[in-house]
Amino acid sequence: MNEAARSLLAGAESLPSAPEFVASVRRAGREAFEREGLPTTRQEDWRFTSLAPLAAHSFGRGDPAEQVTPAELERVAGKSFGPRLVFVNGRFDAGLSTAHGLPAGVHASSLHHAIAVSPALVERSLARTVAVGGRPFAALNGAFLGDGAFVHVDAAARGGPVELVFATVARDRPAACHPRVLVVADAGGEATLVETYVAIGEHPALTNAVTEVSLGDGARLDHYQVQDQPASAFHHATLAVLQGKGTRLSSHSTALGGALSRSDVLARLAGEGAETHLAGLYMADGGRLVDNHSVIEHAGPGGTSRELFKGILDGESRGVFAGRIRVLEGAVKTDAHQSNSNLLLSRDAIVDSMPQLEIYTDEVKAGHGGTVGELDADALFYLRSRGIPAAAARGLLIYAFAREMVDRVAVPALRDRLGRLVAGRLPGGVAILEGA
Amino acid sequence: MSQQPNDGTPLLEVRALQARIDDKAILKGLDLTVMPGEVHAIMGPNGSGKSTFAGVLAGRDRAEVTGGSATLDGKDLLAMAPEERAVAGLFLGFQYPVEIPGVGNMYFLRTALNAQRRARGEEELDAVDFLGLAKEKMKLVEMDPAFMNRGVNEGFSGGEKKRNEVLQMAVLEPRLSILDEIDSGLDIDALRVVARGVEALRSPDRATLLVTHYQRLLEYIVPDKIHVMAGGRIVRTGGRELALELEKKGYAWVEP
Amino acid sequence: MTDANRELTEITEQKYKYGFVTDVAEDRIRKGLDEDIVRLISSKKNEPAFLLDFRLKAFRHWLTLEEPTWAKVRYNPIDYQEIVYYSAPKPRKKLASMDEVDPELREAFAKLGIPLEEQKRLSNVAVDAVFDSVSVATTFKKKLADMGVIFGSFSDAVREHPELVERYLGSVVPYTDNYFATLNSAVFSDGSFAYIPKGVRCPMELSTYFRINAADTGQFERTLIVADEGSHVSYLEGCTAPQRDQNQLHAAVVELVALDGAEIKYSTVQNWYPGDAEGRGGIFNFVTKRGKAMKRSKISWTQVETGSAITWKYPSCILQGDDSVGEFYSVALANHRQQADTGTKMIHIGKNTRSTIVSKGISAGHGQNTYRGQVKIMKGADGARNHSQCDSLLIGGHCGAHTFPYIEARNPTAQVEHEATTSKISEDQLFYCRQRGIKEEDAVSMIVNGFARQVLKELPMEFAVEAQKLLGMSLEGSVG
Repeated sequence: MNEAARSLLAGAESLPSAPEFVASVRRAGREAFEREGLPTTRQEDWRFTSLAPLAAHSFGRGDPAEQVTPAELERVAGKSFGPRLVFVNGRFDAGLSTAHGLPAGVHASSLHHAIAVSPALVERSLARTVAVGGRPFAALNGAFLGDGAFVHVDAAARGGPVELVFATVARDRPAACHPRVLVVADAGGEATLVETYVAIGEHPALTNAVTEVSLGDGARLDHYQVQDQPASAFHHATLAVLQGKGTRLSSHSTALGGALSRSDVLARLAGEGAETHLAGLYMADGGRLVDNHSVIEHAGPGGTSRELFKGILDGESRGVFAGRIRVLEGAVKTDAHQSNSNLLLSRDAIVDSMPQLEIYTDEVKAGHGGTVGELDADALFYLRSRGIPAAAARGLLIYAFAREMVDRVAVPALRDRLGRLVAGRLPGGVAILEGA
Repeated sequence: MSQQPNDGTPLLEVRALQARIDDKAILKGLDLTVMPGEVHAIMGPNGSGKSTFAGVLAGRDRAEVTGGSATLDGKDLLAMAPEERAVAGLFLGFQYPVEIPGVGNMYFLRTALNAQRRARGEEELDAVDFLGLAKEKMKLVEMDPAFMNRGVNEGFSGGEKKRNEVLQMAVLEPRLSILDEIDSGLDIDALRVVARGVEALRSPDRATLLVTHYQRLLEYIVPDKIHVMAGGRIVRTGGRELALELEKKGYAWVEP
Repeated sequence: MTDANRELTEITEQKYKYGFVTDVAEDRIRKGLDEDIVRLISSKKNEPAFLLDFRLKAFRHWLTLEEPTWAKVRYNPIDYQEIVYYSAPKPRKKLASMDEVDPELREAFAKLGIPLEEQKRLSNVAVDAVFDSVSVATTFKKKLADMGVIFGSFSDAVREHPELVERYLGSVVPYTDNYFATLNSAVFSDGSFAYIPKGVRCPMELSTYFRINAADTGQFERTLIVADEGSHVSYLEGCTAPQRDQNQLHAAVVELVALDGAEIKYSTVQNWYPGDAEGRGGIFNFVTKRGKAMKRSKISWTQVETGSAITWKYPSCILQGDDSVGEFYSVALANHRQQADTGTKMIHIGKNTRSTIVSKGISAGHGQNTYRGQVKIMKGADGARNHSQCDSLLIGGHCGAHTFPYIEARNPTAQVEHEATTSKISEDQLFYCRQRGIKEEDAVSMIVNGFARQVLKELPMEFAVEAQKLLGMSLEGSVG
């Protein structure tokens, strides 16, 4: 382990005591991270994503006692549009949270609380969907396992969104936080979950989140992740989903900020006829890097998966996409498709795109596609010839490229927020939305 | 192919034919006799078993034959592999002709013709002779020669696919043509072309079996006999008037 | 198993028909690899100092490298000390005419369909026949020389045109390039060399036929083709090997140089012994092929890969000059326990460079077929274009088809498109063919060839017919 890795692990041994099943997750994570340390670009999964900028900082564990005012929170995370659970440096903050309007059958609480009141339920699902070997960030998260969110969706659950907001606060020094989200949906349950990741403070914040989702037969989850952090922040998110028979997962991610933002999705379609929809929009400028890795594994027959990621890269930024669809022997009648499109807005922006198929059975329909290009010069000229100034025309066309991803959001308030966040980063600003 | 003397042997004889798909009985004792020179039409509502019947005769293994017999020129059809049935002179015009990307339409047809000729001990046609034959038949079905070099049915419209089926029939000159819903999705022009192709093949030693849901096709091809199928059996047999009656009263009239 | 599948199995139970061994006396050196062996190979060939120097630098560099593991292939470790690095049929005196070639060798090539006798030569194809480590014959040499075209064995070129060899050897694939290319640079024995002078359109196809015969040997040939400004050449290569229970290593290097306005078309039909149905024996085909394209030049790779236990090759184009064009057309088939990890690299450096990739992978039995391709658009490659199409056909439920493209774009004006599909031979397609009277075996072969047509049509006529038959034959025992 090098210096940066050692500093990331500092404090993991002195966490408050916890039940043995939690302690064993911590132990396994700590050992795996000690063994593997931070990945290097020699590793295939990190080929294009150097962690040197992250390693340049010495992150201490973010202080769970840190306080955030409601106004401060609203400035970075927007107004709540329903029940909202807020976590500050990983600690559940009841004062900033509102449980009002929680849909019937959806039980959302802090993980800490759930471990105390229903340890058996938590133990059954915790750390079951993601192996820590070869995934040092998931290992690191495990090493600091303490608080986070626990969402239990019971069989009768239906309806409205629940939002989880994770604020990493780095006011006086670089701070790291390792939030955990555990979602367990019973057979037939349905829920909508929004995870919002923000950072507060002058110093670099490192958020290293792990979300684990287990979907019982027939359960459905509409899942959103919004990463809207300052350009100095570092973000790593692992989403691991285990899908039973006839389940449907729709996961939508938007990565807007961060010096380095990386997402790893692992969806395993274990049961027959499971369905997975992954969508992602990423935007970067300056020298920022945004990386989306995903593995969709079809293990059961008759599964369907659709994956669409779109990237907008400006300045000297770099976008990385590596999506793998794996169809195992026996996963007959699988129907899988993935696509990655990228818009390069500057001469110095970089895209690395690796859509991958790994197929082990013949009874399968699978395909992928990818494109990289710049704004359509003809379209740009057309708009300008109608009197729209060049910058605004560019903004309109960029938004047109991104819009499909915004429109996919099924929660109206979130869709509006995302539209504003995306347009707000473009020439012409939110005024674009008037015309779109 | 050589003329077969008509000694009173039916060209196609089906007796008490039963077949099922998975555990569901589809054909429940079907009888049909087609003599050389005849054109028959089998009509019936959706799900009556018409297409299954056509498929069973051609050897499609989707349905399993559980009883009865079917002979072509007195030979046991059911014991033959699909390609042997083709060699024996049975042609199935598909309701949904299959696309085979990259395999040239012309190449496919020549391979099929020569495979059949070889199996019958006849001389194969060389590329030049074949081209002459194909061109002549393409005129008959008013097919643009450009289609010949495309992949088999690859990117063809519904109507083009059906013309292609009729072209194959015209080139292969089968003894028994079974045309499964050849009229579905066709406009009037295409229907006329299909009808002309069928009429051109009419001869004392051949026969045609039209499988159709609508009587519209029968305005262009006048059959000798019309059978109405329902519930996996032939429930009525008659002449042209039967089609008109069906037109008026709908299939509810014959449903068991 | 359905009737259809049973028949498929029966019809495809054909054996590798090039598996015979020719009994010729060999001049072989001791097995193993060290600096003395490298010097010995060089001295056997009376090489000039620059070449020995090249070999030694490569060998010393090779000692610092580790065998790559990133490809999606599995095999037992290769013991590089158990390989014989040089084996030549002997005696090998200077031949006055083709008819003086050892009758055993002539017969071996005749069996492979490559007649070397003057009177039976393939019309309009000049053949360089490489048997184990050395070139044994080149046809039409005189006729080509009249036009200034140099074509023959690499060893002859070293002797007769050392300045050309020195100038271009390693200019596209440096001796430091990768583990297997570096090994080749140290121990390569022979291969083909072609030089097409300025403005000359080579009047016939140039062809090399590679044959591994001896046991326990590796084959390390080196091919260098230089097309001078405005010239044009089409080159074909074919390869076979006897059926043996042990794996044999083939680590070749091919370098193409297309100077301004030149065009090189390079076609391969690779049919090395693939091993038996249980995966015993077969050739490890670890090959580095790369071309450098200067201004307005074009390099086109076409490959039909049906043989070898393992194929590891990525014929690539460095599109250095503005307006240069790179193409890669590939059919790769993996049946039984064969593993293929193959694809290309298109490196766009010059402005308005264009590349096309068409890959057709066929997997059957327990075969694993991987397309791995890199499209890299460098910063200065304004207006670069790439289109990639990768299709996989799977036959049976135990094989694998994998598609791993790497798209690396560094220029906003570039347009890169990649598409991939996966399909199988459907029951409907088979039934349709059979209903028209075509036997299942012919239907399968027809459908597979249809799938590969886009690539096969890129092959010169002589090879296209052979390749079509090969595809049908290679599907031996593919279902069941």
